[in-house]
Amino acid sequence: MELKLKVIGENRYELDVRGNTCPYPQLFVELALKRVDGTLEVLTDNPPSARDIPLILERRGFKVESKKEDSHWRIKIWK
Amino acid sequence: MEVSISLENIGKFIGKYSLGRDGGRGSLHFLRIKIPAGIINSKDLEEIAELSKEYGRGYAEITDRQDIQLHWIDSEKAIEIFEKLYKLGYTTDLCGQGFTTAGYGDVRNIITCPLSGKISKDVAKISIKLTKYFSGNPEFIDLPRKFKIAFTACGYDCVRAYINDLGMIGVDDGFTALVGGSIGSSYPGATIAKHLPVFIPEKDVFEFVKAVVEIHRDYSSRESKNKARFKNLVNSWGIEKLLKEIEKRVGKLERFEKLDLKPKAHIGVGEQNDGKYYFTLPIVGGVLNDEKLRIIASIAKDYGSGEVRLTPEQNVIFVDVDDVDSIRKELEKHFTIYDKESYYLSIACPSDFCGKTKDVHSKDLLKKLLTVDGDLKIGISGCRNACGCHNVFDVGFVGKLVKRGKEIVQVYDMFIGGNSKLAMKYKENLSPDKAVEEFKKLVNNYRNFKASGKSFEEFVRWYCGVET
Repeated sequence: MELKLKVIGENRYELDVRGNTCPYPQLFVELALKRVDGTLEVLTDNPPSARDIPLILERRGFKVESKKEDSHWRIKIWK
Repeated sequence: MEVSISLENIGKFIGKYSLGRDGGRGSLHFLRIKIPAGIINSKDLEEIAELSKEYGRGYAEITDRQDIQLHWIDSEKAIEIFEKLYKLGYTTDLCGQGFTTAGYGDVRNIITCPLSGKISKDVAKISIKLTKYFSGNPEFIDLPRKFKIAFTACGYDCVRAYINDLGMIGVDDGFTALVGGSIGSSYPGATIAKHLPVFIPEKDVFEFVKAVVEIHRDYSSRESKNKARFKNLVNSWGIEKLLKEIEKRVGKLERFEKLDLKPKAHIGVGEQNDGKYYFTLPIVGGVLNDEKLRIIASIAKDYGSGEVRLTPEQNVIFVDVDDVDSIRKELEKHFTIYDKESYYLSIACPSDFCGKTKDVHSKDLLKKLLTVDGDLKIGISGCRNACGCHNVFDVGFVGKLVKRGKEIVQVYDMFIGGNSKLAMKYKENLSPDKAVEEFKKLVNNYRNFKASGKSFEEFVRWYCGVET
């Protein structure tokens, strides 16, 4: 099994984790951050993950911006 | 362009394990461990006690679906915990309730007669087989919504089959079924299951249950989460259409019209078919801790076969006991063994953790009500999702938050006269103190009424002045 990161610009990547419950969106984001530099944009429709991802990553020194788009959140993460 | 990333060892947990959302007492996540058929041996109980100590601040509770639930789970430790559960062979509920759309529903722990195989036919075997089949099965982890199954064959409804999506009731050498029960607020509201008047031979029961879950998967609404429970499909199709669809999948079934099923919980002490005994330990609200789990495990080993059964009333039953007096004496060193039935029959949801109530929470209110001297079955839910079955017990309370002046306060609506049928709302917006007061009033009135030899049902009609 593997995750697919979409390249959406220069050093910008999109990770679609919709349909996954806790703790997977958070775990997938951590795996992705190990692999890429730049900005990661995460799509999740799981409300607890939309709550947890910014909390945990800000604690680790990342900058995080979260925006609700229709039935999901887009969470931008960068250093 | 895409970048591929390996899921490393996480892949094996997807679909089998997840964390649920908490929002109270400082807990962000719970872990609901499915205990298949509610049967667990002392070794596994000790392992779960260790998980509770290491990851859940030593807290553990028995749920009314015979799971063990831990709280304060750190999502960053999730994989470590899943790995330990994986080695033990346990899975968890998949907590798709966070999603706002219809989908990602799973088959919840199958409630099973806690004395299965001890006083009646062994339905635990099939229940465990089905639990293992559905848990993590990719074909059944994206149901329109969760699906709840119950199994019993002791002659009573000891599993609240009447409020499950599918209740399998043992009759003769097979089963008959109840379908479409669910008492939460989703459309079309609280619904008691209907009898599907067929006989399912024991050899066909696995395929029958699978077929019903497939029908839910394939035909329940995916347009709206509120309309996605199986009860809505059963209501809109009707029993005949559902039966036709089931028979398309499993073949023609013999008609079985007669079903006279009374609710009854297994409590107290009794003799098993093999001459040994079972002994029930009442656990108020199912609340335990790691130390108590270890004590239960050790007593089960020393005084029985090492196996315990978790009950839908959030209690523990020790089975295969030789000496009832000795186990009671040993248990009394660590637990309070209440004699009043209400301590054994009442339940409450963990609203203190889900964050939907303020003080006084469901389990705390239950403790207060149990000190009132009345032998009634109490169910308390923190919210209208009805996890504490408030609308099908003798007396039920459902919490809600209301604005009083500038403050948001906790109040409860009071229901009476449930018990395998829907209770009626008796009072609204009671403060927790007022709820206790109303309950005391009801108990006093019932005590006087009962003295004349009349039933609780008759009392309810008299007390409310209406038919329920």
